[in-house]
Amino acid sequence: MALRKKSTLRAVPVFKMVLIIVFAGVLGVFRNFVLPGGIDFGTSGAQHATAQDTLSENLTLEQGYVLYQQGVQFLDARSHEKFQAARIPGAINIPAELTFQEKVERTDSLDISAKYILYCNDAECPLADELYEFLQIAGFQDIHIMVPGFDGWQKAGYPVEGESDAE
Amino acid sequence: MQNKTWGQLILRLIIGGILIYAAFSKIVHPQEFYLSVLEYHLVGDTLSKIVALWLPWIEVLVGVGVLGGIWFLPNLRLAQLLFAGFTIILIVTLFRGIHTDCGCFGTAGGRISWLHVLGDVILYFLTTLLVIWEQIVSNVQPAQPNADNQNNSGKE
Repeated sequence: MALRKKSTLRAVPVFKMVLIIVFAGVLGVFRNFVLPGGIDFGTSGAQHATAQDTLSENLTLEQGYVLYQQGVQFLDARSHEKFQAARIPGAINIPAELTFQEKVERTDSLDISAKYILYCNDAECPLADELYEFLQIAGFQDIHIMVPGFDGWQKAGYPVEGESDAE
Repeated sequence: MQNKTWGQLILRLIIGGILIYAAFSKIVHPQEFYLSVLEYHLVGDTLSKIVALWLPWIEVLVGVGVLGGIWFLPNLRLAQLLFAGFTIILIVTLFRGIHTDCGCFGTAGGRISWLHVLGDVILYFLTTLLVIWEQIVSNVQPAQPNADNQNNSGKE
């Protein structure tokens, strides 16, 4: 019994805990670098730096329209309802109400090295910034925000499509 | 092992099962788990990757250990650390106003909420219950030089 009492004083088996953690690390490294589908340690940091560099490249309506004419893909950060009602032609909707996983699935088919223009309602709307942040994390390298947003686009008379595009 | 009761067995199934289940999707889709870790804005890019490749395997080993009674007390202590850590991270993230995906079960789990905090707190207390149980059993029974007792006596 005396031996048992002593053992409870040493109830935190640190050595074995450390061994478990180290072995987990070995398994993790094996899984990541030997089996397919691992995390790429080599490129993502650079990708993030590139994306960060383009953060200041907010676009005006005119710049956005030039890129629209060049066929650059637009990403609409507004709600699904607003997107259905009216949108920039060809835009893809990635609304804030999607979960992280749903956003991953929706952007899965997009080329992360291509150029993308994000927009929200107007300059006050934060959703394009949130989408920018998500895309940056996902490794997209050439993303820009058209600050005046869809409202500015529509007021300028640029093309729109959707349920209300008859106007 | 002869002192294991049904109650203890059920707790082991719950804790070990949840840990193994939580790790599975993270191991299959490490890239997505890495993005989830990054979304918490707690650690940088490289550290997020290290966490993403390391943490799921800790969960697996601890889960297997708790389920199988292998290095039982060390694994229970690690499970306590994991659940306490998850709880603190969730609380900090919620207070920072970041409503990212939990990443708790890899691609499943939904956005973080106080329910996730509650879940981790409950799991922490269930694990603590097992630790106390194990220590009481170790203290009550007469000392026997069998392998299981040596495992749980902190002999190292």
